[in-house]
Amino acid sequence: MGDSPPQKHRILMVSDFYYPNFGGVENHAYYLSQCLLKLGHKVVVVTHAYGNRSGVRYMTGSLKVYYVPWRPFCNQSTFPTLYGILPIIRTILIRERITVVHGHQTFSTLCHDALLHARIMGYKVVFTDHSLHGFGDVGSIHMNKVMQFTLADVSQAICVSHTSKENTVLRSGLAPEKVFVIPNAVDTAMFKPALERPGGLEIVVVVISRLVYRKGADLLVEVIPEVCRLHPNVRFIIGGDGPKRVRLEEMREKHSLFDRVELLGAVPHAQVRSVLISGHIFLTCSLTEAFCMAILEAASCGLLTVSTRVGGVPEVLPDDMIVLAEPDPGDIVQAIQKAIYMLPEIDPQVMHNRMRELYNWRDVAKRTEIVYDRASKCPNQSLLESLSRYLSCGAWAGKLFSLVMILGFLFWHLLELWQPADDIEEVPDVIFSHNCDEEMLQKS
Amino acid sequence: MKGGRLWWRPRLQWHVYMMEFWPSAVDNTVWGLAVPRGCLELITMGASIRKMMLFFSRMVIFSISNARYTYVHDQKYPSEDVDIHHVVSRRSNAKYLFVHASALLVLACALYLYVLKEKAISLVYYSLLFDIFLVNLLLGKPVKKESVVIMPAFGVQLETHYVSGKVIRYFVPIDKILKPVLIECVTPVTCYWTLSLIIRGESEMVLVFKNLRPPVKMLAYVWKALCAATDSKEETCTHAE
Repeated sequence: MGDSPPQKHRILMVSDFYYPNFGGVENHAYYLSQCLLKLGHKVVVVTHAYGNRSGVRYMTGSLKVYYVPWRPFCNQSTFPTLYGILPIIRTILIRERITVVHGHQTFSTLCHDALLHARIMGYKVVFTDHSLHGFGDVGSIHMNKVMQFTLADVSQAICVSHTSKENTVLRSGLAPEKVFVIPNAVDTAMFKPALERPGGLEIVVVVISRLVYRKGADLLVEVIPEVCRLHPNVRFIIGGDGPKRVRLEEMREKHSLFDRVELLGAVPHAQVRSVLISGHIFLTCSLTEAFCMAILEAASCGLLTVSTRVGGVPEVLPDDMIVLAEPDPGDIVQAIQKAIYMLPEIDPQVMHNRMRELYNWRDVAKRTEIVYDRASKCPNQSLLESLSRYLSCGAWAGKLFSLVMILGFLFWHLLELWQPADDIEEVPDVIFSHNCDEEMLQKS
Repeated sequence: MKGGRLWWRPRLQWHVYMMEFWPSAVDNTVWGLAVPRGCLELITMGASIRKMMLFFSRMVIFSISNARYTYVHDQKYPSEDVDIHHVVSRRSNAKYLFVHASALLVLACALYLYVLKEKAISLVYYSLLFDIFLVNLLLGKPVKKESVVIMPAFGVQLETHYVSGKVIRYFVPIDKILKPVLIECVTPVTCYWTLSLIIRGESEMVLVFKNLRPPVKMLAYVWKALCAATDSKEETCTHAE
């Protein structure tokens, strides 16, 4: 082994999306942090304040979270201030002795600002993209430009699927060799099959997703009546809430399906498993997905999956665990029929065991560790080298980006004068001593 | 004459009692008034002499300094009786000079415009008001020193000494202190450590060294002393020594 011994990284995770908010990005950042801590690295998370939750909190495994008291502005993102976040980010980077900054999610303004300023200060930055974005509408064009700016100087990037990698490379102009593909994983201990499968002649199809356009709720409205007509023994359970719920209610009334279509409303994540194990088939009709965690969770519970063939979904599961269809009601109906015929051959426990091997967070953490090592080996670049890269972003946008970087650089040096790095006190590392464990044992 | 001497004696004892229990109130003036020079021969030997000797010895055994603060652990009394910790602000001359130079510059510009450019006199008045506002904003009410006086038998007294000589004191009885804690605080622009007392029956904590915000290395010593005084176990399970 000619390699040097693996170094311990000190990672700062930055995102607007973190617990107590709930979602795929929140899950990913949390589980990844926990596994990196187990590998011996130091992880600190920075996010904005959630209601009364403000200040420093410690989560399981002494995972330290800074809830910086910035207010969420829109969809849990903070207002983009460009330089407003620089003082606090600089303080945290110095006091925690951070070596790598890891940002999550394109729509997180805190993430973009932090990556920008970390690059100015000379830190290695890694970015994980969790979503697919279009190229045609005004919002996407704007977001792609911002991303091009932020990622122009990023050390490494991570995407959750190969399709997502294509999407990110095209949108941001990143070199493809800088982008790694590391999929999401699932907590298989939390999603286990039922000891006994729901029996009888009835076949239950479970749908759990937000009822919005992007998740294909309109397709669902057309698919359900057709399947119910063709297969009298099929029943649907739909978990989730959203603006399209009204359409589903209307569909139930129109086709008199009250006894065969059950609408649960919003399902807390703690109860997702109990909903999943009450069914045989999991159905998702998303119009766009970078990865789709819900499919992993369903497969871990032993459900056969029917999904639209969009985004990164074909990469998620082997062919014998998923039936793919085009995002078209007729094709989806045929896929559901095929799944119903495949159902007798499915063993939930075997499926669960395969999921446990295919997707686990320890593997994700090890691969992320490789990305951090690669980022650490990238050579440091001066401001002039960075500026030349920003100038190539566009005819006028490039100059604007360069100006923003220069101003950020000057602001950083002003902060160095106002509050030198030597004045910022480093935080001692958290160590759980034996006394604490004994006290906990005595209390319990 | 003899009756006069007997009258002085009880008063002296009363002052000794006061000094023992409220050491922060003791200063040279009180001492001078309490014990005229001519009556020294009347003081009895023993406890009074020892207390007086301790009072006059101003040994400072322990102190830490950095660029902005000096921490002093005052040990002129036995620590089981009274424990005094000071954090003194080292004046930042650069900031002081910068603020006043800026104010003078603004005033000079206004005077120049008035004298040579025939601008209105109100400009000078406005710039003068702006200077006053600027000095008050940036220098604020300067705090010279903050002290913690720990009396295990009675309580903890927090003192804030201003440059102007004003002193603000706050006393917390020992039985109301549930626990001293070191906490990290986060603001929109910075993070810092504070030492706080959790008070029985109060929803808000009392901040020690509220104005100066000394570094955690200095706070740790005061925190240990407070834990010892309040019989709290030092929770070392959350941080390495």
